[in-house]
Amino acid sequence: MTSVDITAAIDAAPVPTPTFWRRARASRSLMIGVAIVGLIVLAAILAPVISPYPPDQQDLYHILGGISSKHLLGTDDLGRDELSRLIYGARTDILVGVLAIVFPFCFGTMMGTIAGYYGGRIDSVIMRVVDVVIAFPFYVLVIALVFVVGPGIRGIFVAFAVADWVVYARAIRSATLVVRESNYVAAAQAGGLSDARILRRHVLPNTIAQAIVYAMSDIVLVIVAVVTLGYLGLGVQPPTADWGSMISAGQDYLTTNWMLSTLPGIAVVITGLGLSLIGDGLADVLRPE
Amino acid sequence: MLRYTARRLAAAFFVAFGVTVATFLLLHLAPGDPARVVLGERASPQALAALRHQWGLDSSLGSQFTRYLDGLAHGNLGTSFINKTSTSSLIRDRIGVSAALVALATVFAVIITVPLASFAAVRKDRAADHIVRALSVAGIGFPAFWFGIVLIEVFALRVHAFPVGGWGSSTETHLRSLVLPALTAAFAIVPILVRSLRVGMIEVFNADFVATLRSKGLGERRVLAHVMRNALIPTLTLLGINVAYLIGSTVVIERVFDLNGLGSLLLTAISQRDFPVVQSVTLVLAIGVVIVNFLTDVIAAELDPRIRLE
Amino acid sequence: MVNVRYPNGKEMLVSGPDERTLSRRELVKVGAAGAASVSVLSIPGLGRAASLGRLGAAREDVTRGGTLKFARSIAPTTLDPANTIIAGDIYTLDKIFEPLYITTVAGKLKPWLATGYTVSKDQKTFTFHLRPGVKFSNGKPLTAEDVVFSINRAAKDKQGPLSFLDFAITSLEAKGKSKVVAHLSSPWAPFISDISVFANAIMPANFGGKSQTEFFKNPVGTGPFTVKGFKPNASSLTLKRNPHYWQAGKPYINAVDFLFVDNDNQRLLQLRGGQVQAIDLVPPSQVASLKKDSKLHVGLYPSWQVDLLVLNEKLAKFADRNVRRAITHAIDRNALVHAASFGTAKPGGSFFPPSLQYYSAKTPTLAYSVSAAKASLAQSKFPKGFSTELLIDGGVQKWQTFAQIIQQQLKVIGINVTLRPLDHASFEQAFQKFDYEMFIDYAINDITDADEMASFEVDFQNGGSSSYWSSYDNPTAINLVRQAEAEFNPAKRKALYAQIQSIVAQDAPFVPLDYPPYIYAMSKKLQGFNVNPGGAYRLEGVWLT
Repeated sequence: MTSVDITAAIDAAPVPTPTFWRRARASRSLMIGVAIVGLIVLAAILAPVISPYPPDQQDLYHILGGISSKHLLGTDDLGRDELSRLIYGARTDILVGVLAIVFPFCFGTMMGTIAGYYGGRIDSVIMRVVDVVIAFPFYVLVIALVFVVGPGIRGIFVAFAVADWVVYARAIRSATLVVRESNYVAAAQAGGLSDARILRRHVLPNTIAQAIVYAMSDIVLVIVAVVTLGYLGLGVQPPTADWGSMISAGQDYLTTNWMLSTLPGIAVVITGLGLSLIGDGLADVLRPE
Repeated sequence: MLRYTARRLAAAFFVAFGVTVATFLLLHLAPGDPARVVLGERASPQALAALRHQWGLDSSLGSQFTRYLDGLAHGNLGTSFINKTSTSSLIRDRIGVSAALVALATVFAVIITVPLASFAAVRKDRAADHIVRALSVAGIGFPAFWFGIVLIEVFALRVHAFPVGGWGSSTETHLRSLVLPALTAAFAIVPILVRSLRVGMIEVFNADFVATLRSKGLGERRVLAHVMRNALIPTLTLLGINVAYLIGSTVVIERVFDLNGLGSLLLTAISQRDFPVVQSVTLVLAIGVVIVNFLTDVIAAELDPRIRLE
Repeated sequence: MVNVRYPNGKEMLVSGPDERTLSRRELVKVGAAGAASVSVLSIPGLGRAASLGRLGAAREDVTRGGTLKFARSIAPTTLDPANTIIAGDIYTLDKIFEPLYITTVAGKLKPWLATGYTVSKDQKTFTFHLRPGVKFSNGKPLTAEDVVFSINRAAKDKQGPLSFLDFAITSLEAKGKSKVVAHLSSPWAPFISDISVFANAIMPANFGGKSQTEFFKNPVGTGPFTVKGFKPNASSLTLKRNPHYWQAGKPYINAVDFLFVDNDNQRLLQLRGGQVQAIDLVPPSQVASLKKDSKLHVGLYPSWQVDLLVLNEKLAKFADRNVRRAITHAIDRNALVHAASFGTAKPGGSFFPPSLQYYSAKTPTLAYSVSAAKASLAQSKFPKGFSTELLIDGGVQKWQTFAQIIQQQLKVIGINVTLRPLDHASFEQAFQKFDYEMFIDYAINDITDADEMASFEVDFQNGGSSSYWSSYDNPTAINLVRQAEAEFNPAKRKALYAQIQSIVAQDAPFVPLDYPPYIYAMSKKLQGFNVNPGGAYRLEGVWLT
């Protein structure tokens, strides 16, 4: 996809030491981000408990109702409770967002590490493939894949699996290239450690920080992309409550029931804010002084 | 430098070919029969088979691909299944719109990013900086299509400053029709660019050579100029990547603003299984991306010699 | 239409001489319907019969000139009448080419390029009389040769989507310059309806000497407007007034600018912003707020469209009549139209739409009743309910809404529905291959004659679609359909179709969900605009104040 967060540490300190937790607690961005995301995730988990209505219960004679004592945030075009659907939407979207980047994260990191560490022919081949995938305009690729696989969650997973791993690969490769030249890797190689051990103990811990930081903003972009796919009619399919299709369905009523599109949009923005703050905070914490 | 450029050029050709193959395969993997789209529900199996034969869809994938490549070599992009006209004429009619949209969006993005990032970097950790940072962070999560609709409601409906949609008939109306779409597209990438440039500038501000410049008594403005030049490189690379992303997102933006560009042509063609059009438009868009990436790489290498060693 | 009695006792419908009265009566009907539903364009001078004059004569109380700007959702890709079924093409080319008969706003046939016809005793030979004085847009007169060429072309085109409507024609010949004789393979009551379809519109013989491609770039027709340099899928198209148009004084306007805007919101915004004076395909959700705008009119025009939930009888669960009846009983069609169409559509009942000839309001339909649904299911082979899949065209918001409503309502009686949305091309392929359990789509009549819908949806062997892909095969119903096709007596035909509707309603092979109208919105400056139940609108009679 798009951004590579270059501010992440190149010579990152290896992962969680006492200093790490101390610095983590001191980082305001990180703490605020965790609080926001934590709240949303909690709401998502407790959805069945805290939602006033089941998300797909229709009331066809009371559609597009405004704020009322029975429906705190009004009803949608099929008379379903907006508040309940917002809460259940968090469930769908966060789950889809997190799951959708698992494959790109793992596969991309693996490819980037191999390319950066071994260099030479392997590097060229992998990078050429990366170039081809990146050359595909993102939405074109995603839309085409969704058409092949079919709309809905499965299509989204496949589309991101194919389109998204490349940026992780590129970022990890750059980081690996630098680490490869560092002292302790040279020492480990001279000491005769196997490649696998070196990768696992010395290379990855230093490079993965970049990937994690990027993953935070990637989830945001994935959620936005899912919302956009919903606008094009290719995203999560009804009746599953999801912020994207809620925005799309509410679009026709912008002038009369603007909340139907606005609230899910705000939910997306807040979630994105939280995740980005976590990403920023982590980047700050992992940066050497 | 020349060797680097040549290497990037070779890579670009390879990528373009890879995109062609991938698009071709992807399309033929998709379910859905273009013959049925054209002939309708009541088409007889014979009519369907005849049309498929006419389009060459019944020969092997390999020979279809060779035929496509052969056509490409002769500048023939095929004939649209649905419109029955040459694909290249369809593309020619619309490429101006998409190109203008991307160009104007890039201009807007730069005009907005540079002052905003410098403003925040100079006032690091003060209120203004925090506001800019918060806005950029929030901005990443903003769905562009929704932002576009809001812009239309406010600037086209309430305040009749810009047309509600479409392309218009004169150059003047073309430009006015592009403002809101280009702004929408620009806002999709400004947050990321601002973050990157701001951080880049801060890092450079803290660098040794800046302290040296300051100790030599250089005014803040001149220092800023130096900082900018150095901070620009990673952000430039980022800009290149994002312009490439913009090229792809024209699909959505053209839908929101009813612009008759390549993006909307592609969306329609995919749903109609219009193979020749999908193949060629994807190729054109991908080549656009390749060109942008190539230029970005070359310019960045020109500015920062370290990159050429990669 | 007038009844003529032949010596052998058979009665025939023939176009009569009193068109003036017909026009007035039809206009009154439309006006009344309009007033009852939504505020529609007023029809000034309704009481002044004198000003209506003879067919074709222009009114005196209109403003002439001006260009109508019309935003439509789909751009035309071709202007060839015989080779398309897409709305974007049809409603453009029908301003350029005209057929021998047209369908009026009231859904009846009206002589147009023909003034009438006579039919032989064995009902297999029709002789059409062409209207004198009709010219093409290039000034050349319309002759019988042109008619023979055009209809033959449509009939013989194997890839023509509507060529099946001409199947009854064995041959056509020109008799002199102004008579065309059609020989049919058997007595075929729907013949004049078939002739009126847009695919059978008239163009110059042999394209006036040009090649086919050349001709359709600069088409020549008898219609009120002309096009120069047509480009498929353009963002706009300008149609200019045809100076040789056979109705003197018409069209009133000088030109039509079609702007093709596929986004619903965009079209609305352009109408509200004054950039266009008319838009098509108005979303039902917008009707209420559009009505509040004092500068705009909303037109709800009855259509021949029926939205259907189709059940695949190749599956055991839907081959069971009681299951199908249970499903029909379980769907609250009143609530559906209330929520999904914002009250603009009428709830479904008979599989004929109310605006179609021979629709029977007395059809014994299965009313909404959860208890009746449960009782029916209990009598079936699947009393405990079952799971099933509902296939829809995912790109259309309306079907998503319908599907979700149906899903909830069937859950109540123990039928668990999962939704299966596909993109348009995949969707069409799936149901035509019978790769579905239930699916939603719409059925439409392209012509005035009820036979098209009846045979398409009921005649499993000959209808061309295996009963709308449901595989519904009821020999009694099929026989009745075939009888009606050869029956020229309107009263007898009416009885036959009433029977057919009753059988279908009780067998429930599909559930007619609703009858949606065509919804257009326009500036009050636009007068005289109307849409026939086939969805076509003529523009020679509109004017801009």
